[in-house]
Amino acid sequence: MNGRQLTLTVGELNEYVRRSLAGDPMLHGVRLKGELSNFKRHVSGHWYFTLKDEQSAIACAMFRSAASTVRFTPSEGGQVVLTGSVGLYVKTGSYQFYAEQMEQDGVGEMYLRLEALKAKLQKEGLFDAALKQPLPLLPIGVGIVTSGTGAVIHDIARIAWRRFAGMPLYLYPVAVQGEGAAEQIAKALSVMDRLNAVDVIIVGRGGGSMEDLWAFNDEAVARAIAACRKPVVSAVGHEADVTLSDLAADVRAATPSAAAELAVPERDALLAECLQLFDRLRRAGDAALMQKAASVNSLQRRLAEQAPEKRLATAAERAHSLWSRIDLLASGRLTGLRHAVSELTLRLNAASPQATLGRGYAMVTQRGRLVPTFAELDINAPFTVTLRDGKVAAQALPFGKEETP
Amino acid sequence: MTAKKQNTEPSFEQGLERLEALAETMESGELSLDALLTAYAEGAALAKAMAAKLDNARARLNEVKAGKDGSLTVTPSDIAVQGSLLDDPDVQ
Repeated sequence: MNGRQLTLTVGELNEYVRRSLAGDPMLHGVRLKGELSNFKRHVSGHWYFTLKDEQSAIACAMFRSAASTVRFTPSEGGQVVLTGSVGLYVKTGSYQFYAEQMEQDGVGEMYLRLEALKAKLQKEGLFDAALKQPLPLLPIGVGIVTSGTGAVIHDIARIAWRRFAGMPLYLYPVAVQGEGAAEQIAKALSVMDRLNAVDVIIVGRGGGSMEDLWAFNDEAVARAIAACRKPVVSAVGHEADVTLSDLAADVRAATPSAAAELAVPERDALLAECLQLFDRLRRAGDAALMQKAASVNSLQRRLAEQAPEKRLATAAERAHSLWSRIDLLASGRLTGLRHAVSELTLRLNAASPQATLGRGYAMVTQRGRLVPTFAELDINAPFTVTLRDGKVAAQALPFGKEETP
Repeated sequence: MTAKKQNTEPSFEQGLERLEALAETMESGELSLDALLTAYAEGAALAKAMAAKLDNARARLNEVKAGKDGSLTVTPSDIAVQGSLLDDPDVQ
């Protein structure tokens, strides 16, 4: 026995043990569960940490290529399941676990519970299409349930005000992850539902791991959303997974910014639609008035053909009074409106006098006043005829009034 | 209270629908002068009210809090929205 004694260098021993470990099939493809501690992210992108349980601990390394495939952000104390192999770090003679994959422990169970809850709520009809409400075209105010810190509220306000400057926004700040988040969100929703200044609600948060979004899979939150009498837009920034909040909401948006776009209309588009309709109304009014005027004129002419002067005068008076009423009602009521929308009308420039002139009409003015009827024209004085591209001074020819057909 | 308010004040959608209906009847050319002017006046007043709704430019970001007794308070938020100086009516 003694004769066989060999003297090894440290390097030789370590190398021998490394090979033994590497050659042991039992030590490959090992699934190892425990708690993360001493977690370090090296600048190289490799992760070094210790995995432990109550009794013991093992040093672990996860190289950059493997670490980059991990779908969540590991943190100190997190329960994980690693897959990998055991090896020896020759330089220090310490053995360690080389992790190739890392999953959150209990995730599978979490998903199973989620599916069961989803099925239950579905059966209750919480997600029924019939319950979905349309969003108001023009909200009186937008309620926002999200974190008071972080980018989300800024994103929503920026997009909302870009589309509609001054749209009233009401934030109920809540924790969107961690202990108590679900209760806070559910309460905030019921508060927003009672707030009269609000008629559409955005609830959500920015992107994160599935664990971070978990409050939006909470039964209380899903029920609070479904219970809202006001339409709710859910905006949980996670494209891959649909949360229970998304299913319970009236509309699902991929991100908080997208939710703001859905909830807040573009002011200019609404204004244009409004003015376009008003313009149509005005044209219809103008056309109808012109038609009435034509019948008045024709009545006048018929009377003139057959009636003595006195009856003619009465008819003329009646025609004139009708004209005055038309003018008074139309212009009087219009002035107020024109004043209010003058800036907007300018923008559209739809039916300006200029545009009317452009269609071949002329405008007659005398002593600075518009002369819409023959009766108001002083036939002995000069007057001005305005065409689209200029004015001309004019004088009536001596043969007097000629009836309009 | 909410329901009451919503009942008396038509929504923007309803306003647009009403304007369109008014325009259609006026375009039919079958209205009497009085009916025509009434329809016109209604349309004008409606369009004015709707344009006013779009000029709600004094609003800002508010914060809502609920008291333990269920009371609600709304106060202007301290959060200064980033990148929105031009959009924020209070800054213009």
